[in-house]
Amino acid sequence: MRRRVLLGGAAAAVLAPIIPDPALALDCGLAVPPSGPTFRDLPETRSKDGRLETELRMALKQVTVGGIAMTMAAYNDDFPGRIYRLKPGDRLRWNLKNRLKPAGVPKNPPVEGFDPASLTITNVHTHGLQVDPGPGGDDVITPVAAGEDKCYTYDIPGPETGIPQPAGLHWYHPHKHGATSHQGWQGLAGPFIIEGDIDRVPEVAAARERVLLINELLFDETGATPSAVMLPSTGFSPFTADPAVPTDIRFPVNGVLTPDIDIAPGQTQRWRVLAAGPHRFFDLQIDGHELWQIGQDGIPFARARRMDRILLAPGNRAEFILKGGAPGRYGVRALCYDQGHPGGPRPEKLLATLAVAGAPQDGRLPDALVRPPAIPPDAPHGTDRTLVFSGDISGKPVKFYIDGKQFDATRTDQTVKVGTWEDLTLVNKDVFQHPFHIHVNPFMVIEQNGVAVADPVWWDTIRLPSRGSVKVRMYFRPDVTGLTVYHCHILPHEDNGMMGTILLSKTGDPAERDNPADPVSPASCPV
Amino acid sequence: MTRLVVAALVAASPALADDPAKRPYIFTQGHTGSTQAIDTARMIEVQLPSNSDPSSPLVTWAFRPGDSGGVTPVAVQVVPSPGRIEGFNAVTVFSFAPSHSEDMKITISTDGAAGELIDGVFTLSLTPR
Repeated sequence: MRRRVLLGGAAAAVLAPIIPDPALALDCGLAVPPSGPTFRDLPETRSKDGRLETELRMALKQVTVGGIAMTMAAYNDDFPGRIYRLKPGDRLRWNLKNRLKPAGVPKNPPVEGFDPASLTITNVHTHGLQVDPGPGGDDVITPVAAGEDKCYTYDIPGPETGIPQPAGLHWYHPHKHGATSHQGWQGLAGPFIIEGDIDRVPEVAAARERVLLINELLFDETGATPSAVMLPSTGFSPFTADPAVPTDIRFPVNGVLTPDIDIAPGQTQRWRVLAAGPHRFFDLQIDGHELWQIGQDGIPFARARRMDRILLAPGNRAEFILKGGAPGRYGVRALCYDQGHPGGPRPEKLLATLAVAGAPQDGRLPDALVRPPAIPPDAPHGTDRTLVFSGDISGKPVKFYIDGKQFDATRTDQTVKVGTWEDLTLVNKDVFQHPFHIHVNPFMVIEQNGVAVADPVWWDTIRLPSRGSVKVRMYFRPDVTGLTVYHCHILPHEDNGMMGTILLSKTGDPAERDNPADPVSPASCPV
Repeated sequence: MTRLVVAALVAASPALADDPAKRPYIFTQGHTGSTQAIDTARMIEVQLPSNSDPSSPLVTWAFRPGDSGGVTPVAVQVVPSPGRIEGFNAVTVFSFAPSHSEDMKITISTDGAAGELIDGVFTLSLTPR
């Protein structure tokens, strides 16, 4: 329960009568508005003849969200990023052109040692794609300074590998350590859709597809994301800056604040939802509607699962079939959720309105889906290990650790032999929940707080409960080697140290890092 | 001890909750000792870790008018925040209205139990922008 007291006087502050504080109430049960702006489908580009080549130009962009003029950032002038639609076996190549400039620089001098221009350095991560993490591939170690170009090439595993890229929703976003959260708060994110087997399930194929990218835009009084040292705070905005500027936060869907999403009574729609924000968990509920989940983090299920709510940590994706109910307007909500942030639960947010109207339809819900990926039965068991996550927000900057260490790209924290499987126990010492994400290879969640998970599925980002643990089973695909990372997907935690390196090795020898494979991209892109 | 109740509560209306123009400057323990200019049309908040759990040392904070100036204290709230920082179970939020013309100084102190955090004294110097 929150307490508010009044103070003042000539001496010290005095604790006085307790009165309710409506401004800090959690706003649970927000009213659905009588109308809203129209939902916007994102533009998309599809691969052709197994190839997709494009420029990926990053620059500031003026946008208006919920009536607020903002200076955010965009890929190729799309806010948020467009959908790139690909198939297993395709080659994606893009030329990242970093044209970012500092924005949101406070008028007061920066904290000593902090350079606002450092937040314009970038790179790009293909979250969920099981591709080469080396130089020129899904390389999140090499920085790309403002004004520079860098060519990236990704060969998406096809059927010939025996382990094709699963069909589902994945995404791309910046991943420069120290600048990741800033650029995430600027709205830089976009979806990949990998097409495949689950798209041919009749009930799925018949459903109208909607891709929902939920941003988390943090902005100052000028409408720009502060280029400053960020510190956690309590209240309406979860972060303040040093030097301090007034901050606020919005959660648009496909760039639109609380849009109306149309559906007919009985119509089925396939929603692909991406939690692209750097910090906020979305405990997703659609009033009066069940969610028939068909995939998690871009990996399909064997059978659809009926859910009342789906919890998305930052970085998670959920795909589900939704069937329109009786005519009316229903809230699409991120419920109040205590993710361990200072000040208790984050307040409820109305993300959109499901507007049910029109001629009734008779859409069918799916049951059996596809055969999910499996660890080969003859794969050898590698070395089980434990990672411990902890943080300290008492000082400036805040500090976050894995196994007591902050990120150092020159250090090899873990070495695994590809083609093996292992169990990884992830221990969270904090009240803050930490969504664990590892690049390249997904994992099955097999235990939570020591209790076995019934009927486990694949994830690539999993919430570590407050002062709890999760055990995951990983299989390191044999055809992808190189140095990559694992980290907390609360990006302010990652930027402040909570990331480690992992070498996917042919031999299991850490020295393999000194002899990397040839770059998978040319020095300069033809596009 | 004198108590002056200020009736004009800032941010007491839910209607203000979605208005970015009403957002205050927020300072935390990480800002102690800072000097900066502010837009005096906005309020000031100071958020400090506190503790009322008797199983560990109590930590309460008090605004020091005699060591402060140019601001009018408006309210203080205690927001539960257990376990986020070791030894603290809440955040105490002080709200101030700034002076529109003169330099401002805020001093908030504790009885010493929080001494390890910021030496038991939070100070902030502000100038009108």
